[in-house]
Amino acid sequence: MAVTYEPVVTATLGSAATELTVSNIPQTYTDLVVDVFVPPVPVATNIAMYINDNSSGSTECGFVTLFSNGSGVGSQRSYQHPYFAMNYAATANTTYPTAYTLHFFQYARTDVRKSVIIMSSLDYAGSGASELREGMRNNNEAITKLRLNASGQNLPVGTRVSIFGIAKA
Amino acid sequence: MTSDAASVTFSNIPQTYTNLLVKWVTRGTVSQNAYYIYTALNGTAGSTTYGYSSGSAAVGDRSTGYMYVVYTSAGYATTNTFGTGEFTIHNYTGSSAKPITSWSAPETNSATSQAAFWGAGLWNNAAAVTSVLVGASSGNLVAGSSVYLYGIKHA
Amino acid sequence: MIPFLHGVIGTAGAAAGAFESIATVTASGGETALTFSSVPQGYVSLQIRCFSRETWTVAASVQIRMRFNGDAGNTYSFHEVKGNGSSASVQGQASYSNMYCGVSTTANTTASTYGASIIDIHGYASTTRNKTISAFGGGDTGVSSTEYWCAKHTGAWYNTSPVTSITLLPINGFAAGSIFSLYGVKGA
Repeated sequence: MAVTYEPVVTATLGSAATELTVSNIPQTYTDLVVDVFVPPVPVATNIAMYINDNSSGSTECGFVTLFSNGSGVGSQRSYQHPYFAMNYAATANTTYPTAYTLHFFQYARTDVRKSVIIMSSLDYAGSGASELREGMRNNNEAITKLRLNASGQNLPVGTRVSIFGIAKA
Repeated sequence: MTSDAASVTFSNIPQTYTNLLVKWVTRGTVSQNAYYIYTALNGTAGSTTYGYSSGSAAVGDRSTGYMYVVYTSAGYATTNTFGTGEFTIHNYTGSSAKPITSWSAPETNSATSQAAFWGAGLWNNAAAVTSVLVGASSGNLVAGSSVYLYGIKHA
Repeated sequence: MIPFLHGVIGTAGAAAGAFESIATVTASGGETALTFSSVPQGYVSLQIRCFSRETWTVAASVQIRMRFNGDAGNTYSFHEVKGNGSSASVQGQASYSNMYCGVSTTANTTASTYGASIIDIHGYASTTRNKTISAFGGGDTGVSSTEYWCAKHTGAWYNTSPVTSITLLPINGFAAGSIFSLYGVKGA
């Protein structure tokens, strides 16, 4: 049995920026686990993950969400986006940090679409949400780059994307 | 756990990882099919937003006094049945509040029991986490319950 | 006090990591069951990572089913919270013949699209406890449709025997290229 779940790369913003990019992702694993930490943001905004060089005009991504907003459970689906949304029922917050875990399946293959599971922790001490999301990028490209984006706003100093690789037996 | 206890605590946690992951298999003593299991960091509480099936509907709820993680099987659950779950404490050595991601499975052999929990929590404290408590919010965790702590280190 | 840090996940190098790959099964197409046999007993928990598609042509997404140790009796329960993109619904079954645990796409969807699911089985090797599982998965294919959904599942097998085999079942057949990978998480 081989030990896996290996840390691959971590990128952290040393100054505020509109995007945090991790490039040249090794193609030697089966799945990727991506841990994202976003400190309190300057402006409440939506957080999204772009794949490779998906332009803003791309319509390749769709995702379906199950969420609790603290008073009920709902579901939302959206498609024809250039990104995977990482929040819906609550935006990233100006007072509290948020955390996200993304699982990309079979990310290095070039013969299948790319599926992702996203878990979002958006609790704000009396408001916020807890979200589970599954999505797919309608494109067979291997994932070589991930771009964390705050929908035109700045991601704060300390925003961090950490990638782990999981190999199958 | 070799005897019933209200909680277990991991202390003196090394500060050399990035996230902490707790996996648990527990059963409570409270007289219900399932009940809350919670965590406290450095002995203090936080908040939770969570969703689940009540058995007849999908329910969303929140707590501002406890970091629930979220429900475990309890005294009225099918014999020998323990709930399972795990939660991640993100950025536990950082100087901001600590988000928590969790899920739990408090099963019992009933079609209409509470189950399928997922949650988000927040420990609104800038201190580094040095201890993690996992406990029953009422009653005890029974002997045979197990809790495991892992460190996750980023590149 | 319970000893802490039973293991470390995510440290490079074979010496320290607690997350290990055990086995992978891949569908060649049409299988009505895929099984992990002789599951090692030396871990605290198991995880199955699923990349799956069905040959079914009735709907766009469908649940994966699971049994332990070849037990096809009514010895399981499961519960589901499902989100279909506009609302959430629940279902539960007791004394059932399998557990729902994740989601596959189907032959009604674009080729080369597969559902993604993660199944966790903590305490699988216990000889005194029944076995409880948790899963989350979905089958969105990124295109216009009202048929895509995701689901949170929990389930239990009412048997105190250690889990030595895991069988994953489709509603019809697994499509070629469906992949299920089994991992173990070590304790102290």
